[in-house]
Amino acid sequence: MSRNRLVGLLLVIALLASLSVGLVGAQDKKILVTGRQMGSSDIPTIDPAIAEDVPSVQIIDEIFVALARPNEETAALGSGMATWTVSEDGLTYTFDIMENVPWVRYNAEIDAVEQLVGADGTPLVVTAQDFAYGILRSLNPETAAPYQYVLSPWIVGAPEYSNGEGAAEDVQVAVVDSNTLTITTPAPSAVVPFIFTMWVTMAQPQSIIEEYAEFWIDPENIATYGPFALKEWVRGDGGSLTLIKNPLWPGTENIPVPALDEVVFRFLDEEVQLTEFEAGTLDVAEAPDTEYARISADANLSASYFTGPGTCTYYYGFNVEREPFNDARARQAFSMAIDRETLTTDVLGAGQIPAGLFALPTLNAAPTSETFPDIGIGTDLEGAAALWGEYLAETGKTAADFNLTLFHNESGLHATIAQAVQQMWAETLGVNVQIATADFATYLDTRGNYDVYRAAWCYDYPDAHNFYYDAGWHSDLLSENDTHWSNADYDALVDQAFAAPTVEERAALYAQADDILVNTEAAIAPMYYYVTNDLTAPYVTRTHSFITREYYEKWDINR
Amino acid sequence: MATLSQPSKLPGSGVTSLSERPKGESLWANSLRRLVRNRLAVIGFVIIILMILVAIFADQIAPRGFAEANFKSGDSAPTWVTRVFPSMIPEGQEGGYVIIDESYTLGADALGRDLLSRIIYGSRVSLTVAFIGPLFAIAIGLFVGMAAGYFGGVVDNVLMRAVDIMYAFPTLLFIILLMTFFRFSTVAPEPGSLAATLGQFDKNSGGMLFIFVGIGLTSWMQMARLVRGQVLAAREQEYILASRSIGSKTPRILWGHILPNILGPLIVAETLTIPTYISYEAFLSFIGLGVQQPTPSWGSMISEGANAIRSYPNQALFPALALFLVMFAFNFLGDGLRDALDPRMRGKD
Repeated sequence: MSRNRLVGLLLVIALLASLSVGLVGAQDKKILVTGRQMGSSDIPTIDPAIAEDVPSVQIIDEIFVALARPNEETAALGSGMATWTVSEDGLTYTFDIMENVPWVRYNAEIDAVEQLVGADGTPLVVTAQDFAYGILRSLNPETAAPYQYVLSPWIVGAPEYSNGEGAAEDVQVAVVDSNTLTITTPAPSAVVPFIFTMWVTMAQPQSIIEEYAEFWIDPENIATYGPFALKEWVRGDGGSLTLIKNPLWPGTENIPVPALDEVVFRFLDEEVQLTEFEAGTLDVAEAPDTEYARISADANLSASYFTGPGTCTYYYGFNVEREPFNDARARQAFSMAIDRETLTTDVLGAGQIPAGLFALPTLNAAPTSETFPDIGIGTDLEGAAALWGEYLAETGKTAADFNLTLFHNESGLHATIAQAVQQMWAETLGVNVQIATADFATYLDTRGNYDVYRAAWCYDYPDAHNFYYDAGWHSDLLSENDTHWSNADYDALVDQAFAAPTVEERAALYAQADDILVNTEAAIAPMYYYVTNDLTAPYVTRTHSFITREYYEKWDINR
Repeated sequence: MATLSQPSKLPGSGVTSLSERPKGESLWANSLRRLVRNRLAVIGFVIIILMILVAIFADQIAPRGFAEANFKSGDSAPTWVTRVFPSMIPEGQEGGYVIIDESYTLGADALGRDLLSRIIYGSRVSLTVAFIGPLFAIAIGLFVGMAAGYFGGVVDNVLMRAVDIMYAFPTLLFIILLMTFFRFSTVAPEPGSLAATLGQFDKNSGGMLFIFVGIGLTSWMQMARLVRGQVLAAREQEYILASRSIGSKTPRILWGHILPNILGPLIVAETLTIPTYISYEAFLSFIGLGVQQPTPSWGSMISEGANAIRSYPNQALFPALALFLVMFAFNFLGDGLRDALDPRMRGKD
């Protein structure tokens, strides 16, 4: 008995000793724990070809680097892994890729990031061939990449290849030498370089992917080259992902060698993030909108609080194949009856900006209400009631004849907004709308079957083209468009804007297109622009990104 | 029953002699007396009666409509609530953020809807579920259980294996699957079809129909097993043999003799299961599969309140308190009934 107790005591002492050693070790290292934009469940993937969601892209952007990279604070385009020149006809882009950037992997046995060596013993570096392989893999129909349709229109031969009709050799991505890549686009446009900031165009390690197939993204198999390397990935709800500084990253002006040693990304609900932040176990956290009043009143929390422009537009889409939304007047009336001011100040109240246009004002070439005050849609309750009355009188129906359903995915915020809008429509138009909800996957699959659905578009690259084209409103992408709306004038304007040479000309054309989309045709009702709200511990030095992902290599901790 | 247990004391036979039997206390009267003495059970019973009255007269009692939003008063609370929850600092004080509005007795939710009114209307959902569950259980479970227990053999085998198969699904998971299936098979149905009619009915009932069907379809299995077991034991009793020997038909034996003798345990079991049904509904509404907005349910109110539990704890805790009270009431009533109906407790107090 006493001997057992002695052993137990020794064990406890040993445990405490190892703990304190661990703590001392931890203090030496700069480890940042963040919950920003990670969501509360496991992230889907860190494969650049497969990713389509914000958390996955956040990780991918830190461990791989694209050819070009937008500045996170200005959205201005800068170099990533390459600098580039454009041919005179504006069609051929020649990328000069950085030399001697090693492919690396974290080795748990020696607790360090090390360079990978090829089968013949030569150290592996990133080459033009790796980028060409990455782009072709993202386009390969067998990869079934969700973002294939965003990438393929920009490269000659790519649409045919990704449809399964053309050959990989006909895709105009050419490796000139180990550090030079040329890519030919079908039409000259100022948007093109933005495409090469996207994760689907990053270099991918061919030999690793072929060896491990879908398991290549596991920490013990993966090969990366960005400023951080993957250290650990605890999968599942409540899990985390740890990135470790890649000391072999050469460091550039845009992408320095990280000051932090490790970044731990935890998958937590916003509410839990706030609680952990207040407890001091999280250095960076999201600030839930529902807690905004308390945060802004609290001296400590408000000092840590930051609010800046967001990356998404929140909107309701009308199903134009169903009554009454097959008539533009009904859609306009429903859109005008949404009191955006009340919604953003009283219901949400965390700094969201009422939206009268679809495109975010911060985008490159986006029209704004300041520069184009006469376009877009606004809240007009009398006007809405009058238009709706006109529609009812003409069709001989009453508001009670319509049995409409508003559909959103399950989330506290969406439910609150839906109920507020439900009340606004009942008051102004006399229509009682039902609300239906579903989990996110079901919602994405079935939202086209409802009368009205909630949605948000968050940009993939900071140019207005991403909103007016890739969001699905152009008739090229009708199959992606759950309102089932299309309009020839809109298509023509977006196509013209795409080819227009200056930002001003493009913005003017997009302004007309936006007016068709949200006002004269009113296929969607833009409601507000997101804001980025977060909390940062006082000892963290950081940049505040408004391009969805944070660049942690520019952050530091000074305790 | 009491009369049947003492036929030998009666000289001769025939109906007339029954009227001369000694005056005794019936089992039910005895049980009722013991139930009334059980203070907790009485409190539970009173709470349930009060809740039923609140649910019936919600329109008269509730100070406001359950969907009546006032966006300007979103998240407001009266002074007494901010005193109960010291973390809710009223506006005007240092670090204060809670809008004070005394016209809301328990406070308002994010859309400025009165919490008290929503809790009052929410009792309708919870209490309806509390009665729909047992109703299905009795309507299906009693028949299945009695048939299986009394007839035995093939009937027993077929019915009980069916119950076993249904039992193999975790109940809650089964209900979730059912709800998801119902909801999504009525998304865009052909007009006039059964799915369309059901979907419409569900929408008009604020999403309650499918909760009832989901709970009803799963509630009867436990009942069927319990009834079967009780019938198996009861049918071997001498009084059944006696009844059969004087020529009683099967229905008379089942309903007249077996049922009254096994009713006690069934009542106890069902009363104790009611909190489970209520919690199923609350859980389904919590995860968003239950009632459809803006119909209030305590579960969905707790879920909405949990979004802001740090800032406005009253929004989640008050509906949780209501839920707790009703579950508490049914549990104590059930416990009281069990003690009161237990024949071994007879004569003891």
